[in-house]
Amino acid sequence: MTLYSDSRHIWMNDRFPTEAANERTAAPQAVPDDTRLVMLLRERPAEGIAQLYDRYGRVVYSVALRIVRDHGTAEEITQDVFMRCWRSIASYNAERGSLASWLLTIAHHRAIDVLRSRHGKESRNTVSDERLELMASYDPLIEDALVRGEVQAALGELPSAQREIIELIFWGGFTRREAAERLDIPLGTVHTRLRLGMDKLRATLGSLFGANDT
Amino acid sequence: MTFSQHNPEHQGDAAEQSERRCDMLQPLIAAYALGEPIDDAEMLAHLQSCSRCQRDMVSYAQLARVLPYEAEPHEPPPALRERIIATVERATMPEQRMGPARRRWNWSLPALGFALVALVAMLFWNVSLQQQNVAQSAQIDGSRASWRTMTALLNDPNVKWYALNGDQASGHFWISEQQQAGCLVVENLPPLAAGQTYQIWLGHDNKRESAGTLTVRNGSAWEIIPLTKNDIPYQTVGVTIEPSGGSSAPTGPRVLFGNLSPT
Repeated sequence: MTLYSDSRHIWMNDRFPTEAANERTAAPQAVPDDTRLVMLLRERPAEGIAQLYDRYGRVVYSVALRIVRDHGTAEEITQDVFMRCWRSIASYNAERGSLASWLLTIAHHRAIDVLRSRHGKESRNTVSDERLELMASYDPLIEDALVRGEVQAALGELPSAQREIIELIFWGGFTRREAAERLDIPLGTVHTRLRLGMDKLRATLGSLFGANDT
Repeated sequence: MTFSQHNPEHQGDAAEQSERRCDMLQPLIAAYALGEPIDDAEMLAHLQSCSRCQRDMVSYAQLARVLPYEAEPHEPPPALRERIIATVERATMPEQRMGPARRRWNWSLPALGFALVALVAMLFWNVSLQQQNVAQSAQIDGSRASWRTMTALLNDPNVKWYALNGDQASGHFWISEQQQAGCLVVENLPPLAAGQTYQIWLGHDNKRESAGTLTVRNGSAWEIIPLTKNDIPYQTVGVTIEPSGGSSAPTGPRVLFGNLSPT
């Protein structure tokens, strides 16, 4: 039996977190309400989950719906996300990032897995704790309505070819190779458009994360 | 000290090479931040030592953090909120009832009556179970064989084990090359609707092979899986919900998944 190792986590557990830790000290901390919510979830779970859902249910559901485009499946994913959050709450550390980041990262991965499975593609790996930590560590303390406007405007400024690649990978769950096949363009062109698009987005949205971070 | 460290021209070459590598790997780093699983050894090794690429990774991850907010807001149905709360309430209920209920013994008469009826029903059920024993003897023999395989497997000093994770369920997959068998042990499987079964899948090269179905008792199950095809490099193991009798390929939601990589 031949085995392969999931080596993409090696760097996360080694040198990179040091860098990340430095960034974290400069980044805003998770909102205080998250700490209160976490305490409530641990002490009075039903009340805690109700408040957590009232706060983040809509955005989690909206992300799932945007990806799977099916209300029933979006509901299932939303329920899964909140259940996983509740079951894992004992290990949650507010200093590592906000609950919103945590929930949205899980929601995104779950929905992409469902989408890929629906199209007969291999599912992505279950989102790891390392990845959750990475994604939650750079939380810009966002007000979703405000950020939505900025993100939509920034994406709107991108040339459509660059935007298309970013959307195929992020919202469609495509790999770069699959995107190249779908668009019938060379992989190198996908790479160029992806890099240019991400760099433009970084320049436009950099203010959300603080000038030093970009 | 190496030649390149003495020679400024070669130092410049090295810097240029490093920069070219950064440029080449940048799309991979961007795709990784956007969610594409990438196991590119060169990228991972480079990230360990390149501060520029580490900064890129951080900033791309930041972008990926805010991209979900582009989704147009939709109100979930009110029933979803109630369902989630009810699930948590159900899951925490036994814990909350344990203490005081055990001490009070203030059952009402109807509750006592219900308990007596339940006791009688259980006696009848017990008798019925005894009658089924004969029919089950063959099944027991099969179970014994499985237990023997599992014992042999666990006694193999070179047994390998891998963790499996799901949203609710969790488990382990033990592999003994000596016994040419694996053993899947699962717990916390959610109850199935009528007409459904849990099916095991072994994956290799984007293909899935059925490894049988699971018989679940109280959310737990274990299954011996023969691994006689030594030439097949199985890379993953997963469990999905399928129609009763199983499917030829996975069609239902996945409840458990694990990479067959060392733990």
